[in-house]
Amino acid sequence: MPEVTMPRLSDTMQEGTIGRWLKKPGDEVKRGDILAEIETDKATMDLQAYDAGILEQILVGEGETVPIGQPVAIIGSGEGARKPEQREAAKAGAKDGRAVAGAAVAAGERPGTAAGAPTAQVSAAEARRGAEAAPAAPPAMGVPAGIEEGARIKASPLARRMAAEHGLDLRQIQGRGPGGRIERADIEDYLEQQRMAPAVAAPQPVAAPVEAPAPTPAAPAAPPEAEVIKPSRMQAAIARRMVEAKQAIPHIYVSTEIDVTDLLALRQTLNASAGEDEVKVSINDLVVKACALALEKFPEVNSSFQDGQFIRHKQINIGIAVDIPDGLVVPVIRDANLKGVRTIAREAKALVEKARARKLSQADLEGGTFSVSNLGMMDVTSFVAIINPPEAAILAVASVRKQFVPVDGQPVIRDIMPVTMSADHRILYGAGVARFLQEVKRLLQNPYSLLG
Amino acid sequence: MDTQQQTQANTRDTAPARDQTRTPSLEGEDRETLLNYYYQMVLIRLFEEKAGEMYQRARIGGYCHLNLGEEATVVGFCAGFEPTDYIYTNYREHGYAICRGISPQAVMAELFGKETGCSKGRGGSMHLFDIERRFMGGYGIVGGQLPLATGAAFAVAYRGGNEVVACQMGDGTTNGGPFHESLNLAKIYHLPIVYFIVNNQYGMGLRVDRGSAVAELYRKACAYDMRSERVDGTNVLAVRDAVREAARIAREQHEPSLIEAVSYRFRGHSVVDPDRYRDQAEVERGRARDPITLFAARLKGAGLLDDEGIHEITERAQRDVDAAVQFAEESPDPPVESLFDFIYAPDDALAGGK
Amino acid sequence: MAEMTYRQALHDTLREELLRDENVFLIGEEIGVFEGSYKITAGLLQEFGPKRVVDTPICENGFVGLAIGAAMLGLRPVVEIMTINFITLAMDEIVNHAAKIYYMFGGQCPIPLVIRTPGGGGQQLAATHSQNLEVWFAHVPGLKVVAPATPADARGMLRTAIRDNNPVLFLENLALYNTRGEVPDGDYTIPFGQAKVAREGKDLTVISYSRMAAVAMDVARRLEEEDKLSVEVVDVRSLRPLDRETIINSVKKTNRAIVFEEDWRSYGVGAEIVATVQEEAFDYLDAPVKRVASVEVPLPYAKPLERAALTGAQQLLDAINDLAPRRRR
Repeated sequence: MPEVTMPRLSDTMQEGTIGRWLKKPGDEVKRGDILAEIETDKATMDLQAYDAGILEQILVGEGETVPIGQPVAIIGSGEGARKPEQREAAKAGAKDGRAVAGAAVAAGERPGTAAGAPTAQVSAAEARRGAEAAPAAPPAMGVPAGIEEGARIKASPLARRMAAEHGLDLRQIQGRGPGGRIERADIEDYLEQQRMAPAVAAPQPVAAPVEAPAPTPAAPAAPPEAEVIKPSRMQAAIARRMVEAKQAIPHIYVSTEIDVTDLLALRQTLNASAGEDEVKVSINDLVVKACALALEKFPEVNSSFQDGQFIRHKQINIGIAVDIPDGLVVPVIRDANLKGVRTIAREAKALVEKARARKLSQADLEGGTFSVSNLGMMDVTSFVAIINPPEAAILAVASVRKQFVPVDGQPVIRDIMPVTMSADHRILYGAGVARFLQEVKRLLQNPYSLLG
Repeated sequence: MDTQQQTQANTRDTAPARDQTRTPSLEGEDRETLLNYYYQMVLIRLFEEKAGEMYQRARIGGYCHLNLGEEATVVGFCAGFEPTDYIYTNYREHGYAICRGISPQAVMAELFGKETGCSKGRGGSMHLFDIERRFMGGYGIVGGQLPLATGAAFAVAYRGGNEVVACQMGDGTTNGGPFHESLNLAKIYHLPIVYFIVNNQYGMGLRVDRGSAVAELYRKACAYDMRSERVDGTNVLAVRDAVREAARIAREQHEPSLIEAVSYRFRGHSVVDPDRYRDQAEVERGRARDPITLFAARLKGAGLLDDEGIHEITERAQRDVDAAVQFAEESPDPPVESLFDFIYAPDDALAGGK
Repeated sequence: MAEMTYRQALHDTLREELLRDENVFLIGEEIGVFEGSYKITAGLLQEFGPKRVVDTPICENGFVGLAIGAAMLGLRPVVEIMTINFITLAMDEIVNHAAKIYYMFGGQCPIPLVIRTPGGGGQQLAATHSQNLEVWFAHVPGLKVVAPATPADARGMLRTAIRDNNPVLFLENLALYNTRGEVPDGDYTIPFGQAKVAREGKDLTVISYSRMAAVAMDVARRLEEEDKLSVEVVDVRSLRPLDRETIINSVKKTNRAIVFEEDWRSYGVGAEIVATVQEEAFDYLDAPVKRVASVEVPLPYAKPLERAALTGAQQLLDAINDLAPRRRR
């Protein structure tokens, strides 16, 4: 039996309301007859019959609204008029359709409220990060003009790219472009200076720091028995930075030994339960996490000394020293205190790969507040690292060895890992460093405190 | 002010076709031809009603303007030209496209936006086109087609051809700039073109005498000293004869003409127009002068058609319309990958020549 | 090779195309009896007659539409609009019809149309006779828009335009008509969508078109002679289609760019070029891309006001000095 459906009467119409029925059940209908008045979003229009017959049933009453295409009446031969209950059921169906349509419309108007929340969270976190992350001030060797307190570094995209390629920290570079922007010229100036620096420094009398050996006279010509190799950009940069660090920062060193027997057991457990594709957690990852948690408790270690003031960083970003063919880079794991050990392991692996492929970006290298250097895989009994300016400290981790230790008077074999922390004595003092190390040790010796 | 031709006509005994009840005699007409006119009118009527229904069923989108009530104008106009002539129309063109020989299937498929439409689904209701049948569009900009048609006539004259260009428009078009510029150019360049106004007495809702300084639109030709005539748009043979005469003069003398066919829209401006601005009594009067009914009566009166014949023709037309809908429904949409087709014509596009 | 004016290059090309293809005809105001208001079509009515060189009344909507209609039947009209200021009267025919007929009718009817028109100001012709409106058309899919800056380019690109089966806006410039240049012999054509590195340089890139490209060349030459700076000049030549690759390669090479245009700055041709550069050469930029354009006022009549409003060599020079890198290469 032909259905009469709610027609589409304008290009914007989505639903229509029956204003007035002009025929009733039982009436004869010819093609072209007007069956009802329809109210649309724009005007009141006529509902035309496209079929002839008897109007058997009205499905949608006056004042009711249905979407276009929904049946509103039935035209038949006149035999089957539905019972009133069935008519009511059809009416209810129309209402339900409307309710469903209404819900769909409402949902459409507020898409994904659940999805909205995480976005808000992330934004807040980003806002926190943006507002509070003051890039650490450069060391006392001249303040580049491009840096404002608490603002990002202004540098052209080209300059950033060049800096990343050369392993330069933009914080070290003077920007002489508009508004203190660092431009190609500034990078090139800087690179030139560092190429010329050794030759310039050598002829100076005395001014060299305590640890420097007797000043070597400038050697314009190499002795005939020696091979002269030009340093790579990275090597030249490292040379320059390490001299700066040693000259400017008064280092103190505190060592301790950490019983990592339980730590190793935890590591084994973690890696056994990991999926095939999961990155394995290393000792260094656990050390990074321990340092990060300890830095939460000892914010003075997570700081810098700039312009005679202590700058305490709110973010805890830990640099991990990575050995690469012609040098050393220290990419950064941001917010290490907020990340789980598996996440840290994943990020560390990715950064190491990038470092080896020479694909680290400037962003990967910026913003560190503490560093960890681990030579444990090299059979090293102990070593001392140089602080990465403008950080306050660096932890040097040596190899784990098996050793007998007394437990209740009995010798027991334990795994022992020596560490030495170098600290900036302008900011930190021996006891404070020792307390910090105690906390690191406590965390590593109670390794389940690193999880969760 | 009258044109020379109008002045001359005024001095003759007979006024220039103002009397809407005068009808040409059927003598000398071919029966088959007349029955075909009737079939075409019925076909347009049923096709346009179906198009209205399909729009309300959301099979057709956008705008949809129908020729309901104008069937005699459409059929008469098309009957006045040759297959080699060029036809330009406005956006109320479904009937013209069909009479010109584009199949109802290709037209309905275009309305549905299908790949098999006569404009490959790119144009829709207002932009039907068929280069083979020299149906040169279908235009949505009021008056946009007039300079184009004038240019086509220019090309015909340029090449020394004997085709004629036919340019259909509505009453509102005669108030806009392109109308005046085109008629002026056609006259100064002596172009073989027939301008044809379908005066259904309303723009959208603006009544013709409120939009035009001169309500008898054919008189505007005087500004261009152009031959013009008014004809009863509900009389298919009167329309045809007026158009044929104008086409002959254009073809032989390269003199343009302006013809005004007075008709009436059965419904609103488009399928979404509830038509509240026309006086109901006027609408009923207009619908009472149904050109199809009038022509059927004439044919019956002359013994050329009986009720059974009417029924057969109506059934045939209905089948053709239903087949058109089915074809359109079953046709595929144009693939999205073809979105950038036809932005630019390739270098060999005109190798075949026109 | 021969040296000739830009005007001569256009004239000779039109004449040769009229000879080559009988479907080609010229149409516009005063191009016949008056010999063209800028004398581009001088002598052509005499040689080819009123059928091929058609004078029109003042009705841009009408005669541009007429040309489009003629193109629908396979003729190849070359329309002259006296200056680009009057193109506003033909907007509907160009944008709604010429640009769309081939597409919306499903590829059945190409429109092989050329509209030639000069833009530019500087002769105290005041606001409605001094504009540069080409960006409106470069915005519309279905049209092609080109703007040669030299006589050689004008010749090669006008040939391409006339032989193209699509509607082409061919932008000339009043101040270019008298400029001279070397023009190769032979029936050469220059394809659309190909920019030209008109002058190589190392320190920064100036991207320009039409008359401003000629000005840029001049400024670059002087700077090099004075050994002040090495400026690369990219003459875009073709606005739609736009040769983004050449522009990007130049910016990647010099890292600093200026777009130099005679139209108004906001929403002008430069806006598209700058957006493209920052999208595709972001990491190569050593500074933001500058735009040097005319001041955004309706151009005034009084000489000092007009001079202040129009951009030119001095404004380009100021921008170059502003943008020049601290270290030259």
